[in-house]
Amino acid sequence: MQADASYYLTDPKTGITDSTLAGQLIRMNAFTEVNYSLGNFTAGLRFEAYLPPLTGYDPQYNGVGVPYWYVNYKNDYIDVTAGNFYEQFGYGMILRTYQEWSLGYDNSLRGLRVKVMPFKGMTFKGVYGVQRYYWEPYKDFNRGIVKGFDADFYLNDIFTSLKDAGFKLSLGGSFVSDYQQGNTKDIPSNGKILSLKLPENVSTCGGRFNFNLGGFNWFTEYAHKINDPSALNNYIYKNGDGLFTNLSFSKPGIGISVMSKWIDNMGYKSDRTVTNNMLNINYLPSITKEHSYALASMYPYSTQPDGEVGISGTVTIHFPKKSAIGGKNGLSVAANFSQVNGIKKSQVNDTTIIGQIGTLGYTSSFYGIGSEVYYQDANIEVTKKFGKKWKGIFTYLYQTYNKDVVESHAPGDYGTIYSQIGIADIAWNITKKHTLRWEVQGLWTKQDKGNWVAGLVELTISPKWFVSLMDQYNYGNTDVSQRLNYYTLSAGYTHQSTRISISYGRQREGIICVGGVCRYVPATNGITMTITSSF
Amino acid sequence: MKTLFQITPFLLICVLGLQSCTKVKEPYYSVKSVYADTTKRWVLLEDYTGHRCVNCAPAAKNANTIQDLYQGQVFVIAVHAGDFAKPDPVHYPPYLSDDFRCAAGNDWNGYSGFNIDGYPKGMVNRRPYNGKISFGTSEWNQAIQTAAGLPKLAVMTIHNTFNEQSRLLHSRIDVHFLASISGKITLTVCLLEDSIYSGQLNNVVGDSMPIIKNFKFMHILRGSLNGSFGEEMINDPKSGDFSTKLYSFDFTGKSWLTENCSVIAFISDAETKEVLHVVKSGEL
Repeated sequence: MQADASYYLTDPKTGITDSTLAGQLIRMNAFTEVNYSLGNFTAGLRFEAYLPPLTGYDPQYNGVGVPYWYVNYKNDYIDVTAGNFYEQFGYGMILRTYQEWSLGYDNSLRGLRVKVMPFKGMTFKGVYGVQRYYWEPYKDFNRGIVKGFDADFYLNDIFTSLKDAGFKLSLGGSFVSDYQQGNTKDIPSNGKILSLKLPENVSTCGGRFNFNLGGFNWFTEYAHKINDPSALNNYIYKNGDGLFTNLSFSKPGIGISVMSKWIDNMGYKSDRTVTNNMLNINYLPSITKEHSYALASMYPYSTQPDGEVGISGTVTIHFPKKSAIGGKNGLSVAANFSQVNGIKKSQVNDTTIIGQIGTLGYTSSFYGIGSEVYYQDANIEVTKKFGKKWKGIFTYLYQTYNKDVVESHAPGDYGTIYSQIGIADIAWNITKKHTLRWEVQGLWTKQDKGNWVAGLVELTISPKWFVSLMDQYNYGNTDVSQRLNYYTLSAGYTHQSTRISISYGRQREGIICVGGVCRYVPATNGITMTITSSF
Repeated sequence: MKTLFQITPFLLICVLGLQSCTKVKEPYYSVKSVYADTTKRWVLLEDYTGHRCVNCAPAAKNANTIQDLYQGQVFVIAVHAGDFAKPDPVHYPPYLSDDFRCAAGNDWNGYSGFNIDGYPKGMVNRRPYNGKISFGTSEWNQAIQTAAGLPKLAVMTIHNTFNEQSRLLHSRIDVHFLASISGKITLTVCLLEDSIYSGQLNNVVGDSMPIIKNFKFMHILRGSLNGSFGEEMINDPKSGDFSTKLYSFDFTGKSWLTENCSVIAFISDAETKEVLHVVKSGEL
């Protein structure tokens, strides 16, 4: 279970007034999940309460109930789930349902899932259901019905001749279809009412492979979607395509990973009128690095389903103790680079603008790279131990963040932000139980809100207590009245599998992203308490 | 054979699944006009809003879409009132400095019978839908469909004369009743202004957050020409009765763009406040 409760205070400097709080000073998001197994059967449910939802979460979550329950039977041949379930085909470009509590994201399917494992190395899955939409029950086709199947073959298990081969190979294929009632929709456009012809069944299909040889691993997935006019793509009829590939190599002391993706009109939802994070059927992979330090994560990247092409590479090297570079205690270096651009789009004909409603929208060539940079991140992280008691992590980042595109602003509203970030994270193990950690961070940019500096001091008394003080100061804001300190004092206590933490402070507005899916977080001021427990 | 038996259910699903594609061929649309049905009631949609309301931008767009869809049968008034409509020169200057509130909007917003207890909220002909007089955007479409299906009770026309030199507007409202109605009928005549670009806070994904700097405000209620709840026009009108009223308004001293202003008039049941018919003029 987890409960996050906040008591909000007014803070005129950040725009939080009595009217913006609207009298709802205390808010809480909480859930309890219970699972019970008996022999081959498992059953479970999750109770959720948003009373009302914390600021930044969709107000449509307001309420209490049991949005997730299931009954499962499983043996060596078959695995059947009735009720709600989370499922993923391959990497998820065709289907992925999951929950991310920190984003308020839940696109679980309610219906039936059957997995059959007829032979070792062979798995077939079938799903049929409707997705969660806040608390709104499914009735009268008020959203789409999703059905799909997936086949996965691990060839080394299927063919005895490959059992002892030096490589490992698996192949997979999926098909998903969404039925949404209504084959026409009237949309006003340029003074006319367009009666659009809509496909009631929108399907996607795709294939994937994973090849492993020695330290090398190569995974690739391709997905194709037929015409899917929706509010997300301005009701254009172009097919969608997506490709994700990841080649990695590792051996003791070194790891290399190269990823690339090509996304072209691949937004796929079980309600074509929805534009927020709800009702996503598929998941478009993120290739940019997720940062955990406060200033490094100020400008995170959000996947653009309309079209993006990107590449990223990561090299991790560990120089062992007593080597020339590693010195007495060893040294680790991780370097990462990623860049995402728009895709190159061309007009369908001379009279149709790109993305025009009720048309094919545009044409594109496979891996045609657009000139507009959406995001770029070059970073290097060095981890070094200094004796037995001291450890330091030093990070430098250079980020390019196209705020207009990533945050869906009008072109030219904010432009592109170029920032440099430096971070030093030092930990001192005073005793076996006591650790003191400092962070010093700086972000320098001429755009947006200008320069920031941040600092943190954290004392951990293992295994039960921690206390920390953090401050982020926007000293470079061109608006002098907004040169604010965003301070947070936190403390936590852990007892067995229960953790209680409480914090007081001011939170800056921004965006948090997990796996390329993002949520806007407004500025807040107040006290927050979090309890997590498992039993 | 055993293998085939074991995977047959999935082969079957595959075959069925392949049928689940609908490929649409060009042309992808037909052009359709929605002209007002002359036998049906015209509908007033009041959108209670404010530039500091973070969920109001999509509601305003929804209202525009509905008005476009029901060309000539649905008319929107954007009522900027309450805390969310107060000017805020401190945050995001100068985008939230405009004050679109007016006395009529404040009175409607405060009238307990309308129960405007959160934003965005709307009323459709000020008649209850699903037991509520005012409700959220998700119910507007359905409520309008219901209201727009009711029989027309009157024919209303607006005749405006506007003198650009004197900036004086004369507006004559004619009401020709098509059915007998019991009770006291009031007429309310208001001024609207379109196309004002200003700041609108927004917390809804799909548009600029936290502020849309150049939001296009439409149908802004500028005030009433004859009192917040209008004035009595006729008692127990019978089918065929005719009534007319004349009003004047002086734009002197107002910074409003008259070419973006229009007059909207509606008749209501004086007791229940239900709007029985509505009409809107073209721009002045």
